[in-house]
Amino acid sequence: MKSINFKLNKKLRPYTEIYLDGKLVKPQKKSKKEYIISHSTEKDVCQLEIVSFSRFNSKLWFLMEIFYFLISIFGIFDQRFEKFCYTTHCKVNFKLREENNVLLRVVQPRNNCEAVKVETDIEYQAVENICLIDQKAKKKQKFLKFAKIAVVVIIVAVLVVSFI
Amino acid sequence: MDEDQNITQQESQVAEQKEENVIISESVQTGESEDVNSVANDIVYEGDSRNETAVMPAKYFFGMNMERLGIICSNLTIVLMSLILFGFLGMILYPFLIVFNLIIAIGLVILTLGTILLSYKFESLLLFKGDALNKYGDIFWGSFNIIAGVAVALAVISVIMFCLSKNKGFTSRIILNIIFGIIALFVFVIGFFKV
Repeated sequence: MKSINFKLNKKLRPYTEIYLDGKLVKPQKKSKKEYIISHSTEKDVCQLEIVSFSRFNSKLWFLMEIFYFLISIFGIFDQRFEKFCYTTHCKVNFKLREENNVLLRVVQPRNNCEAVKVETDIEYQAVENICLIDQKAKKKQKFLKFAKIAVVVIIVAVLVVSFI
Repeated sequence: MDEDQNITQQESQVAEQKEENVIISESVQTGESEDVNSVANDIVYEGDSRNETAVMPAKYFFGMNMERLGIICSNLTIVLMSLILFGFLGMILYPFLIVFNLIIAIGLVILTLGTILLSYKFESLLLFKGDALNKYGDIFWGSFNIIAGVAVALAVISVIMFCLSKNKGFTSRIILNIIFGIIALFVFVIGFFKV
């Protein structure tokens, strides 16, 4: 039985999933800056996959946006939109020894750049490790921005007219 | 002479070792290590969530994000904190506004508790994050919680101060107004930048 320990330097963004040998795993919080995933296998190779999704790709995204818009008092207290909607595609194969330690450095997302920096002394191959802009989500985000501004303008106009 | 020979021998060994390392890393980069790939190709994934186009898995049907909810909660807390201070000002001038102030205080306590609970889970709720958090580590950790705690304390103080200033003269009320006005403005500015 071979064991592999992954250490993440920080928490992954929301809607990010980690698969080890095709199975969904959840990082365990050890400290503020340390998240650990332990995995044991009898195979010689372990495959790590990290996939992230944009919140605009959920089925009821529009309803949820309306919900957040209302509870944050017309979007005033809501968090800012991301400048770009990034998705992560990371797939790395590790050739295992008896004991394996891997440090995964989660870096600031940038288009066409590495999603995760792998630091280890074992042999590995990065099949895919890239951050990409989700164009569909970006379009949705743009639409939402305009919709929010329009709603706020309408509300202000209604208030002004009703006071006059 | 012997020492020189030893050194040259060691140097040649190091050079050989380096060469071997380069060959290994090159094979990794170019994908020549076939056994790594061939075994990995046999892996079968659970469910249908894995997709190259990064389609949202079915479990994110609503796309509910607790972190985002927490941020909204914390922002509201800070602004409510400012409101309570302004409410206090109004209370000094118009004592009947105490009901308004108490309603805000109750809302504030609920929001603060929610924020504190959520901030243990999500770092983004903290006032200082990113580089500042990494640089100063534990010093600033929970700084937001402290502010939220201060808000509750101020809510209590405001009620006490109201009782104290009830029978005071006009000048002392004005001084209290100015002091709390400055604090409120300061808190409001913090709240604004946090938003």
